[in-house]
Amino acid sequence: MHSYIIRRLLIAIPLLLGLLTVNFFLIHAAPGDPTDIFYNPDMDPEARENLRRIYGLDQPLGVQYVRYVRGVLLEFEFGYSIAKKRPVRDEILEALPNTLQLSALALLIELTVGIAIGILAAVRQRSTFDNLTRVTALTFYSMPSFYLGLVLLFLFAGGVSATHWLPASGMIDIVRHESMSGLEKMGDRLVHILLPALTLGLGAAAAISRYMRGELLEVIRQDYIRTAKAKGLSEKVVVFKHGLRNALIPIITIVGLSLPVLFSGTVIVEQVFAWPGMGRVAVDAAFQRDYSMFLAVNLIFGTMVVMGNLVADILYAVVDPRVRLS
Amino acid sequence: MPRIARITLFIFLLAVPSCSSPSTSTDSPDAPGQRLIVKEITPDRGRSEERNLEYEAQWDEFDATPHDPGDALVVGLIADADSLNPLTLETKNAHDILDLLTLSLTHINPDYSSAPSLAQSWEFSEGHLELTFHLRDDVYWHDGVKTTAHDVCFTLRMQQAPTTGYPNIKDKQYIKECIVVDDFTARFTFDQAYPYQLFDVVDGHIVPKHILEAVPDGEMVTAAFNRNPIGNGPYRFKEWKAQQYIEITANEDFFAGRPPLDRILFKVVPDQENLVIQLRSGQIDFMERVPPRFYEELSREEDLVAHIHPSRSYTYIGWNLRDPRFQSLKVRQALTMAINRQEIIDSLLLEFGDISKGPILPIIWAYNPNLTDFSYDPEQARQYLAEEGWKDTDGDGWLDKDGQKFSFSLKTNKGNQIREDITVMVQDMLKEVGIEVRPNILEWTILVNDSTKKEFEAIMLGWSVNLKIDMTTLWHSDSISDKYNFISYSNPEFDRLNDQAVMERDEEKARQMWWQAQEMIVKDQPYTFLFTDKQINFIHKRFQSVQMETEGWHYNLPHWWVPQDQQKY
Amino acid sequence: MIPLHDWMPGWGHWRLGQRLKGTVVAGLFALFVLLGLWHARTIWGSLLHTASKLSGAEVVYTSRDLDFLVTSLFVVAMLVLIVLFSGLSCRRRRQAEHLAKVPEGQWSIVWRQFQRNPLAVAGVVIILALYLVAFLCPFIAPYDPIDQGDRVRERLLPPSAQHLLGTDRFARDVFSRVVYGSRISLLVGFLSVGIAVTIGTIVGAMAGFYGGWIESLIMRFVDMMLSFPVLILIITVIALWREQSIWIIITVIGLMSWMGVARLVRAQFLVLKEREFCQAARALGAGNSRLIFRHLLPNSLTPIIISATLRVGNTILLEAALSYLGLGVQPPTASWGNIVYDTKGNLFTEWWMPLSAGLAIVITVVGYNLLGDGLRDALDPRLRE
Repeated sequence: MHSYIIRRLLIAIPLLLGLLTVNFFLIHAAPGDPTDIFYNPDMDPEARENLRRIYGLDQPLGVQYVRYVRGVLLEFEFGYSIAKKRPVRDEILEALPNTLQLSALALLIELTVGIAIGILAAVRQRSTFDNLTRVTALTFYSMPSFYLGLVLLFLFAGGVSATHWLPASGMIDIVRHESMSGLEKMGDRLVHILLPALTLGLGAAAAISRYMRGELLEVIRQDYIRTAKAKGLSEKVVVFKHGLRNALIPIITIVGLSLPVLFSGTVIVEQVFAWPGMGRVAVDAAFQRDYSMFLAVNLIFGTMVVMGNLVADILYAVVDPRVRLS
Repeated sequence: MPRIARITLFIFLLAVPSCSSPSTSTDSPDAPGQRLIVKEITPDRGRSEERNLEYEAQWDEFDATPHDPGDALVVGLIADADSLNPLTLETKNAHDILDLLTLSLTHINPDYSSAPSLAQSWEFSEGHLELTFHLRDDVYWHDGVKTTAHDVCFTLRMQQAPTTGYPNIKDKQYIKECIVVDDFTARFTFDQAYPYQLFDVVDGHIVPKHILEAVPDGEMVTAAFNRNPIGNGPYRFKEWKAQQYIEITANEDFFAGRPPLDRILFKVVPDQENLVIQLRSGQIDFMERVPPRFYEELSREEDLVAHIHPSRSYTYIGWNLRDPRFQSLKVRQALTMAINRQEIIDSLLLEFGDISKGPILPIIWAYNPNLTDFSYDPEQARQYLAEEGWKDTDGDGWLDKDGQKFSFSLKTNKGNQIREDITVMVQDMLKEVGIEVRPNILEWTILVNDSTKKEFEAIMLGWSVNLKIDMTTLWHSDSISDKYNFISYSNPEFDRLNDQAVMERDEEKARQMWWQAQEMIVKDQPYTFLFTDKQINFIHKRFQSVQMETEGWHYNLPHWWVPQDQQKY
Repeated sequence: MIPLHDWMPGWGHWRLGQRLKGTVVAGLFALFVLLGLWHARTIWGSLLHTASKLSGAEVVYTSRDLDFLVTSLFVVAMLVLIVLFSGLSCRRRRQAEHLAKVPEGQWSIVWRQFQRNPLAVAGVVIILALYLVAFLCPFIAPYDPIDQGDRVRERLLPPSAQHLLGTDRFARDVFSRVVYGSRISLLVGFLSVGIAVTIGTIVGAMAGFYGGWIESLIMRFVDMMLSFPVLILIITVIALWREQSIWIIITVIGLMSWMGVARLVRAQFLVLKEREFCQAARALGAGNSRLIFRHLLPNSLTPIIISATLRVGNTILLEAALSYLGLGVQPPTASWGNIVYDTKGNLFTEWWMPLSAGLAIVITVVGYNLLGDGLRDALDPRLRE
């Protein structure tokens, strides 16, 4: 078991390094000079050179690369954001927790709703419920996330006869939050995170429910289930005790694979709801040609995905002994 | 409580005039039930080193009277500030917030005269080569240290140092140095005397020497101070959550007394519709520059008061004169005539805009009301284009010459819906005469960069007209290598006229010269001058003593207060 | 000799007992006839105009004229094709009837299975409708999608008889724009998946076939690429390279979508390599390329096709997401994504604009997913009951 984990970890490291490298060269291959943003004809050449030196842009590319890698791995140093006039790390430290909150809640929604619906649909295969949920799931699955977001905004935050039930943006009520009691604070946060999390999670929930249904159906057809039923065990017991456990195994991998999509999703959802997270930062960095920011964002997202997959792999090994031994 | 001030009020039944006429004074801005406040254009006198003791008396009167403290103001911002360090900030939002956090040497009155702020008084030396400021001795930085002349001179040194990255470094180029005469006296010396010495000196806010002198050379752009400033103004900085909000609180120890409002929160909401919704539902109290299309629905809200005033800016399309196509005078004139500016105004600005004909606005004293007009005439435009060799020889619907289709990119900035919409309209209008326009919407800093490097074909931007009339930065040939004459306009005759006018101290003579200069530029059409618009601000009615000026909506924010029984937060 | 009634679309099939086929064929023919008649003048005009242009006359021929020409030719061609199809299909059927048994190829089994699944059929119908709309744009859309009307008086009109979805800020008919938007979505979907499948197949084949360290290396690379949040990478590329043409978008999306196909193909190759037919071919002396192209690839087609179909939906969603951020197709061209981008600022007042364009996206993607699902179910022998 341990050797399995260690093996997976070892594979993850070159992956991350590869990410770092590809990112770095990708960004430096782009046209335009990172110091462009400083272009000010009033600035004398000496000052310009000075700035280049500070940002380490005067070194040959190879040297810059090594310095960058060393900085990231050893000191969590990502350089300075030229557009936001502050160290990249500060910006990320502020934005990352917000995205993690959102993703976590979305993941929760995704798993609970997805698995529950999947199970119900499989158990009642070919019933109206099954067909209805299949079509609904497919529709949600086929929706661009901004569309779901816009619809939710419209319904709950200001469209239909100006229903301001839920806030249209922001994480908290900035004026009153400080003076709220602990419980009220939680409520405030919940109310603000609800719509974005639903938008992010429902689409993925639909995907999970499809898989869950398929897997459970597969499992139900297996001989050992029939045997159990023949032995006289009730359907519920059979499904939940035997079928579910086996069906859940591939779900773990699906969750792992859905992480990149989840994080990509935050880019759009955070735009729709003005949620101050990594997705927003990524889009800003793209439009402002903020090179150091880009690198950091890509890296962070990539790392989260790799980590997520790692966790999924390990969980898979825990649950399914066959994997450990391969 | 009525305040006598030099503003004009009209009930909305009258049409809002837009040409220049001297203002007349009447009554108070916050008569009960008044939900619309419209400012007329007041031409400035152009010479504003003088003080206006009337204003100063009013403030003393206000400061002496108690007003209910408390409550918070929530301001909606469409974009986050970039830095709250006076030496590095570049966005207008940051500048507005900074005005509340830190003092400058002087402060501008609504009639553009100067008022004491950090400086109690100032005087020029005999030959005008020295300007001495006498500072207050009761101003403290928010960390308790006293503000002195050392801070003032340190500020200038940092502003002038190229490694600081101060965006307006050019404004300080004629100032020789700053001498600390004593703790509360600072003397600025100049190489030569010129009309705007006071302006150049007071531009920008003072920074604390004892904190910023520790910042290593060249690192000001990314200093921690950018996000965590210490000021000496009526409000102190409390918190800045990036992309979410900035909070400032009343400074109990402010020399003029604590401002009535407890807190001001600047909430970042990057979407205009969202801002309007929040305004209507009370989640924000104030929104600046409301797009005209929302005016009607907002004016129907009982709780909101509208403030309308002419903005000191005009919007234009600049033609890159290094591009051979735009070097032809007739082509430029044709382009202007092919664009229906009135239609743009009618559909996007509604009743809040006027065609701008030239580089100077009606609010400036030297405005020439008799400029040549290139009104909408697509027939004439087509003719001019044909005369310059642009015809549709291959019958594909587009004009071409020497085998090249007449197609160009029009760049403008992101985040301004009206400008983005104009690109689409202009694209359609020029299609009618056979010219293809490719809109290119870019992030602000990128756009500015492209403009400075002259990497554009056509660019749509706006200029805020400065109080001082100096067309040198934009139109003089010498300025081509600088930041602002990016279209590379060069007209030796104009250069001569401009240089004369700038130095002319006789107002009447100067006016004549400026009139001529404007006509020259207009005939040449290096820009297609589009329009000047009125700014619409909406604020919740519970705030009293609100006086918004073209200078800034926050002009007298430290005087705003809310009666106890109406306080919300 | 083919009897006359076989040439009549629908009639021949009905007589042969193929009711469903007959109705569909007849229906389609009727549709095109109606379209042809309704737009007869336009079709004729377009052909004349083109003819005069080709013969050297000095007329203005814009891209919109080209559009009309293509659609006119399409309508005429379809009429001819349907008639031909009708006749030939009926003849084949008659010939087959003489045989003892109707031969069942693999595909007709699949087709029959497919037909039993109403959802899958719905998917096919949606996709076909989409293609028809895309080809027939100029005839379906009442206005030119980039034509701005009276920008002062006709902007932001609510839906009415003249403007089914109202007008946008520039007085352009929204319905026409949505109709034309189908073209972009189709183009993007089709081409990017094409690129993705090509690259993915090549990479997967190499990995699966050669095995060993080549496979490891390639699969590690695939893993790495899969760890990238696709959208962010695409944004990075487009924003950095400052180009926003549709071809760049297609290429970039394609380059980001091949990984799944690669994995699939590799898995297929791994399995197939061990099968007997493959061993046999080798024993007979088949070289590598022969093995790959003649044996392995054709047998891997099915999963590739299914995967491709399911991917189209994804690429359409990606393009929409890019447009929502402002990085998609530029004005005045209309794509569903950029209609949402344009009109999202009016969500709370003129909600029908962004929501209708978004709905078009949803329906299209649903169609492709239903099709993909249907194919997968039909090809899965275990589901045959």
